[in-house]
Amino acid sequence: MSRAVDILYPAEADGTELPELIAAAQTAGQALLDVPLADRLSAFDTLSDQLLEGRLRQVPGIAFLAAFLRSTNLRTLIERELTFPDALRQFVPIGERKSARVLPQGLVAHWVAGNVPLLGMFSWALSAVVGNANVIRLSSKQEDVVSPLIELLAQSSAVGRQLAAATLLVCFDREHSDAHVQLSQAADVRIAWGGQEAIETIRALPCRWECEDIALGPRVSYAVIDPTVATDASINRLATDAVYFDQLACSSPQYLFLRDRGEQAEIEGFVERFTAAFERQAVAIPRHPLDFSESYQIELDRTRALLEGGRLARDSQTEWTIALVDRPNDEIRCANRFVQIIPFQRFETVYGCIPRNIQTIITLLGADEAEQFSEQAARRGVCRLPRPGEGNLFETPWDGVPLVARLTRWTLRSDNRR
Amino acid sequence: MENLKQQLLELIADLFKCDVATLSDETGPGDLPAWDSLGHVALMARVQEKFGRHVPVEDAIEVESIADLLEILERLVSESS
Repeated sequence: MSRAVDILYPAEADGTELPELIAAAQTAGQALLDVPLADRLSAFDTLSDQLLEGRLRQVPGIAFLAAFLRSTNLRTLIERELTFPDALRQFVPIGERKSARVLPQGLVAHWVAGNVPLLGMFSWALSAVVGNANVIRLSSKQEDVVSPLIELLAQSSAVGRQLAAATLLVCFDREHSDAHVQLSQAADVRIAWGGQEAIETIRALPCRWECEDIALGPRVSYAVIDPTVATDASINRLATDAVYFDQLACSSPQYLFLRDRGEQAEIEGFVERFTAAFERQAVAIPRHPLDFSESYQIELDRTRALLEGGRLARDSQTEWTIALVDRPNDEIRCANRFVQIIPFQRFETVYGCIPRNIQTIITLLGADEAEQFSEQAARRGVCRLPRPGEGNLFETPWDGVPLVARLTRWTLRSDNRR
Repeated sequence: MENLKQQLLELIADLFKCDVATLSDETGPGDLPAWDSLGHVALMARVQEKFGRHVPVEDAIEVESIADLLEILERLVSESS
């Protein structure tokens, strides 16, 4: 265990105490108040342009991030929650007697998940574009894909430099309680990404009573598909949803519930088409090399599926697996490109499998069934019902949380009657 | 709209460093070495820059070919005119 706090950005600050660095980021954040939203959006466009030129091409998921950072996308997300975005710049009338000004919360601390560190960059960008200062904490085990991104931002434009100056990137062990507490107590918003233990540990850290918490914890995702509605293109996009991020992202489908009207040929045909698409995407999208324990787990899960009477489609190694089973098997860890397909005749079967920590159900059904299913799924806690191909698109609300609302605060003013 | 198609083909050829003559309505992501996931996002950014129309990400995902993109672009142009 290391007791050190490594400063990854700004690199020249290594050796400075954490509280001083946090204070410097806060000061730089104050300066952002004078930078118009349009200029901040434009700085992210420039950063996106650089990613599109191939900088950081080797980072898995960089295309998703480049798309997310486009100003049109960020503006859409802000306007989804804030119908009067001008309030981020000045007081704007809301009704006849009131005006509102929307301001950044202040300092947002991000504890980034170890498995997909790039995901933390989505919450960082959203937080930064509405004007917050940010501290991003990586664990010591993580590969640092973040500091090259912040460096790029700093070099991309004058406003990019200001946004980068309001960002502090640090790395310290989970056991370094002093550093965790310092960060937590300074935060106006704490964003915790990761597993249950990590989330609970972060939430248990002392913080100011008015601090907002956003817990982006361990959620699971499914797909519900009617094979008669699925086109080859939609099946291809569905395979992409499962293959990207190797199912380490919460939004990757693990179970695929397949509408079964008693026509075996329909089921067989879909499995064949999905298998072909899955195989194609598994080859097209690079993956992290599997270690022995991951390969062993996949072989074990394949055996479990077979012992329960399931059928497998798989490659000759442990690159990808599709298991056609009668019912979902919780013991099978659907990760690393392993999907269970479960035919169902009644929607109640699907509802019965929705856990409390459900996030996304990718849905492709006929219009009437989609309407009915959406309502019932929403009542059971489902946060997102995207179409195939949209599963891994980070957006707000995320995990049911309206992020822009949590990352900002309002000032309400009474006006003279207009 | 024929002019729009020609402009789109020229944009794609320029971005992905190929000859316009090698492109067809069916050409899509994966058919050209540079038209990968990052190239796809770059294409949407260039379309916005050139035509002043933002292709929503939900539409961009569904683009499987030049014909798909042209259809979306024509729709966006007609909606705003």
